[in-house]
Amino acid sequence: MENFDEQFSITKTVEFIQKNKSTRVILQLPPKLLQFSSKIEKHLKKALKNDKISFFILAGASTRHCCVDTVSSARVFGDLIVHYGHSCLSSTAQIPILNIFIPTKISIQNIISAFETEFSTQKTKQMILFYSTEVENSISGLYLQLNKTFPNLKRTLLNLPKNEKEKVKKFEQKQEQEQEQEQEQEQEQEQEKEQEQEKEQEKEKAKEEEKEQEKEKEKEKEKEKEKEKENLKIFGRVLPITDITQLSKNQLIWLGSSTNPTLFSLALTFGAENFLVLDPEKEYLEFEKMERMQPMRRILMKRYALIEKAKKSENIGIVVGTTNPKKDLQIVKYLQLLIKNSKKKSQVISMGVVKSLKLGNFVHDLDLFVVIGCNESLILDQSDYYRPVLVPDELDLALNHDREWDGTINLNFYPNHDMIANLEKKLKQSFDLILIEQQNQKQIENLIISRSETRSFKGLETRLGENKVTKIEEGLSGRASQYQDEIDLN
Amino acid sequence: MSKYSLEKILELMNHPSNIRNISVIAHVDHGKTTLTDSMVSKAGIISTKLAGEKRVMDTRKDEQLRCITIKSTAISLYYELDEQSLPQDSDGNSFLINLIDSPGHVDFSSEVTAALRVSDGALVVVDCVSGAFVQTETVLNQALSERVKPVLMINKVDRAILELQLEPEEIYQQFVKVIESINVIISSYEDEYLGDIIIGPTKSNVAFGAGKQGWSFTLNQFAEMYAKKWNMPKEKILKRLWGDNFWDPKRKKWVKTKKDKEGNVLERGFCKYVIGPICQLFKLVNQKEKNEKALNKLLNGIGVKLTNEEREEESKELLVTIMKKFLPAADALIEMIIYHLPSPKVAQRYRVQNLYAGDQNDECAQAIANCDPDGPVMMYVSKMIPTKKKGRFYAFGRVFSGTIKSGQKVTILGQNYSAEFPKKDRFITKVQNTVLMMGNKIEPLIKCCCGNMIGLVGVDDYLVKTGTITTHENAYPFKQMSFTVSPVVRIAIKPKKIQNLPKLIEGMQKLEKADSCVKCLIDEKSGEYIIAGAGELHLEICLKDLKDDYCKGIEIISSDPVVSFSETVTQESSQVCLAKSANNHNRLFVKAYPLEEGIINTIEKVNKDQKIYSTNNFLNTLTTKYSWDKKFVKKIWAFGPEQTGPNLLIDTTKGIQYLNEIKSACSAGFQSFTGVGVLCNEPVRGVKIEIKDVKLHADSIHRGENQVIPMAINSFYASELTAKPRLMEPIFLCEISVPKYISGQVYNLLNQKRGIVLSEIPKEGSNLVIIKSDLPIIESFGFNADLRSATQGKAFEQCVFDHWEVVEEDPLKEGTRANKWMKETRVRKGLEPVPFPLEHYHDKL
Repeated sequence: MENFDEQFSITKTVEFIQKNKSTRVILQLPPKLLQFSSKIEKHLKKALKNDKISFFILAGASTRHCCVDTVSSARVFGDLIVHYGHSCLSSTAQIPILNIFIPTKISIQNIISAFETEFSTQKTKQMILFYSTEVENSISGLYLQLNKTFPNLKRTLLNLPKNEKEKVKKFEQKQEQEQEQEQEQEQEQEQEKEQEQEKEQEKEKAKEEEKEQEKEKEKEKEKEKEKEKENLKIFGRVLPITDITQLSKNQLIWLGSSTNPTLFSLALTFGAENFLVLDPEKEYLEFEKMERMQPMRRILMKRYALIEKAKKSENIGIVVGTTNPKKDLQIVKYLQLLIKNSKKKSQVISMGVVKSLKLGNFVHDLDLFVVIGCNESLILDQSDYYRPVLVPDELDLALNHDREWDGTINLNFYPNHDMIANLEKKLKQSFDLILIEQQNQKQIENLIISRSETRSFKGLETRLGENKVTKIEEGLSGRASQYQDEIDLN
Repeated sequence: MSKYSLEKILELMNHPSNIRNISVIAHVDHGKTTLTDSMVSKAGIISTKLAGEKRVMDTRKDEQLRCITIKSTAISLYYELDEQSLPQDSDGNSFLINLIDSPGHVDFSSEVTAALRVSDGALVVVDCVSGAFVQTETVLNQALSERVKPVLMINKVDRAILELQLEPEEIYQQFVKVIESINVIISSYEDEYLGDIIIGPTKSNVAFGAGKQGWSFTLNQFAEMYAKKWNMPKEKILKRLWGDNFWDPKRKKWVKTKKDKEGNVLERGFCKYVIGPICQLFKLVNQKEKNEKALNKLLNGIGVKLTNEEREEESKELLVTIMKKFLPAADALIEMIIYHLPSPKVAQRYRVQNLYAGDQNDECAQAIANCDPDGPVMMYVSKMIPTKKKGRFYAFGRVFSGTIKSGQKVTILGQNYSAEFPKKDRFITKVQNTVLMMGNKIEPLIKCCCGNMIGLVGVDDYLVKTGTITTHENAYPFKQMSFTVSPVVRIAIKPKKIQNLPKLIEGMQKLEKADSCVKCLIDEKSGEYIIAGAGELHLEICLKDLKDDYCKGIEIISSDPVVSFSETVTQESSQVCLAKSANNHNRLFVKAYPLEEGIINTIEKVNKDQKIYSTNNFLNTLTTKYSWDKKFVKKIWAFGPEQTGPNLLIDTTKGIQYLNEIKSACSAGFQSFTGVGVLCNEPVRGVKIEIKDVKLHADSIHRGENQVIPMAINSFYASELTAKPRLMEPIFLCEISVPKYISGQVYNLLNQKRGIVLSEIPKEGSNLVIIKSDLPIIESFGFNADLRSATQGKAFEQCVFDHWEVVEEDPLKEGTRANKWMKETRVRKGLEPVPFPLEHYHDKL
């Protein structure tokens, strides 16, 4: 029982619910963990001892499992979401969210020895440690020890959602103090941070038994996050650097499952050749080169095949797959311009979660989809969409002739104003282009028309007055999966 | 020897009746390129001395190294004839021969197809010792189906005389056999437009000779010679020089029997007056020291004068010198080509029906038929030739009508253009330059009149491989060429550095452009980049081109060659298969059946020309020949894959409401299913799917494409799984020529490779046997090397894709070979090794 509590962080959850004075709690679990849902609920109820709090379990999410499903929770007026399992940490939801990562057991000793064999002790270049959400619980302790041997190793932090407004207020005072400190010790910032972490780690250990432990941890993170304000935030991670171009100069290390989707996002964006992977779940711990890993090569080959296909597509659907379209307007605008500039047609479609069935409605008219939204799972998605499904950066690679592929796909693609202005300028120029270009444009337009003409079904026929008047007949009855009058043909 | 003069060529280009467009075609190693050398030297481009050695038409380095032609090469040659006896329609005594030397290896057959399309005549070359091979037949068939008129050159006669030491009568018999074997093929093509094209030495459309030694003759030449000598009409002599005409010296009479009344053996006219003297000359020169007097007398008789220097030559060289002077190869060939092959003006009149896709009475068709230089430009681009400048191509082809000029604005109709969708694959651009192809050189032109072969600069971006170039607004395109070689062997390639992927793709596109038989595919499902070609040698060349040329500087990793499989079913589905849509509101009940081989072949044949469902002929065949129900024939919904493949989707339901609405969705699902089958995502072949019943939701929103397509695919997969699915492997037709005494080794090897011997035919006049066999392509990798080592290099093989054969073993049963292949293919494509079970696709009610 204790084990279960620990695994699903029941105490932490209870704490969080009480703090937010929530009465309608949403539990979002991925299909793998769904079997534990009622047990979790039971444990939580027992610990809360409050009948007023009702629980809702989201069995089928309207988003991908890595994203927080605010839409479904709003339907039952939930005021707090507990998200279990792997998360892409890309949520921008307004209500409090608690991420519960299911920890995997790791052997700190083995990991340290793997580090030692790989890097020996000689000073190599700067290293940055990324880690999966599953090892979040043990990362602080691990890092503390690693840092002794490898002072050139920096860590990233998880960019967890800030929900507790109270907390923030409390920290505001501390923050001011810290800011002063920062000014003093600007150059030694990193060291400072590490020392702080050390101290905090010690504190943490001392208070291990205390109920406040989890809260403290949250506080620490909040504090660090505030400190890292200037630092890069990407894929739910806070990076210990401020300039993205500097990243590839570092040796990047991933600690966690080698099939974790976040790893692929990182490796695609920052280049697989910069990554070394250490999978703590494997029997024999050893660093692997990301670029040498088969799935990575295959993904890149596949993705580029789609990019190549995009060059030949004529009608492109821009699918807005987020629940926060405001933020994405800029990118939609950019893509529209980009497509128009390439003498192709675009259509904007808004849908929550991108599913094969939903896209299926458009296959007749569109050759290709570009999806704005959580890219993490999209790249690894194996399901058949009948049409290529791309992320914005891939479409940019396909249609933007100024770009040359460097073997990466930026999943964090976001166009700035200059890029949009640039395209607008180009578009204006192309209006003055020679006759042939215009003809080509016309051809494409005509093609779209001719396509809809080839449809055999052109809508319901209105046969007013043509059908005989008959009596009402009894229709089918029963469930859709098996009507009552259906007989097995076999 | 006329001097090479560009001005004269340019001048002649405007006189279509004095132009001959021809291709040299033959089996590999029968001496096309060497023979062409003689003609090139006659035109003054290379010296006579070098002819037979230089292989001018092999313009690539690897061609010269391997002594094998890979790409066809065009050259324009200028000749002058004697004024006395010119062909009827000619205009002056100078002639232009546009000649294409084509490769003989089967792997490069597509090059031959492209060459024949732009030619009106074909010079068929056959080795007189080994005779006509399967590739000779193939190329000749191609020529005849393009309405290209053939003439024959029996080559390597020196081998018969020197190597095999044959007597004149034996040589005669050998010639007869070769001519007969060619006539067998020709006579199967009775074509009223081509007229009588049966060949025969007395018609002077057969030449004999030896390309390597640079000599050849037609009977006409000998007849002329004797006519002068004996003062008799040439025609009379000509008749006596072939066939059963024997000279009876006692009675001084020509007789028809081999023996006279006394039983003495008589000598055949051909032997006595034609081949006999040549054999005699060979003998004398070989022992020239002994026979100096006799030799001198003979040389005098045939009018060959030697310089003192030449007299000192070794007998081998001397023989060549004498023969080149006595019977220069080019003279006979040129005579044959100019007199017996048609000019564009003549040929286009009957070729137009085979070429032009539009109405035969429209303006363009008329201009082509009349070879009208003032008509609209109609040019067919048959291949793309890489330029010296990296990555650009000349669009090589023939102008069939009009006059094309540098800088002219033209319309380009690509391969995918069809009159139904007039906006697709149609471009308007300017021709930057027109050039004349002269072997490995080019000569710029200002304009080019119809009836010539030229290269265009600046249109390569708009053409994939072939296309039509026109100035007429409403022109239809030329008909597509049908290639006999199918790309069934494939390799997957990838760059060592992933960043180079875009460059690799660019290179692949260029490779595809330069070679009409290469298919470059990107499988986006598996992330594989594939080059598919006709055989191992072909792929080897492609890969080399890619590495050294199109993708220079990029490290490429290539996989071992693999074959593509097909999937099929071998019996009717054991049950009606049901799939439901995702919303459970719609159902589809289907069954799969195997299609008869005859129907598959018909579909594939018809589809080469045009879309099948518009041809009532095919549907009639189904009802009459295969006794299909007329009701169902009318309800064929789709062919697949790519709307044209050899699989059928048929609706056999009755009175289902809204059925029409889901037709296009079902067809889309069918395309997807036939493109990637359930076993290992390979194309499906020979499967008929019958839709037995359909249940649809009454509300159209619930039976949209998104619901129907996945449902259709699932039901098709289920029906394939229940109908004893099998893999099909591609089979080569393999022809091996080997000396009889070691043919046992070949049998052993074929046995090991699962080959099935179809026939063994001894080649008469040699110790060779020809073994024809079916050889699974998957076993053929490295077959060439194995064969060499098993027979000490004495065997020679040619393989060409022949058919698909069902692998009898159950691919879903562990431990079978088919199972292994299926798993390998799946793993290569990044799939789970075993396909999903039936339950995954088949829903229960």
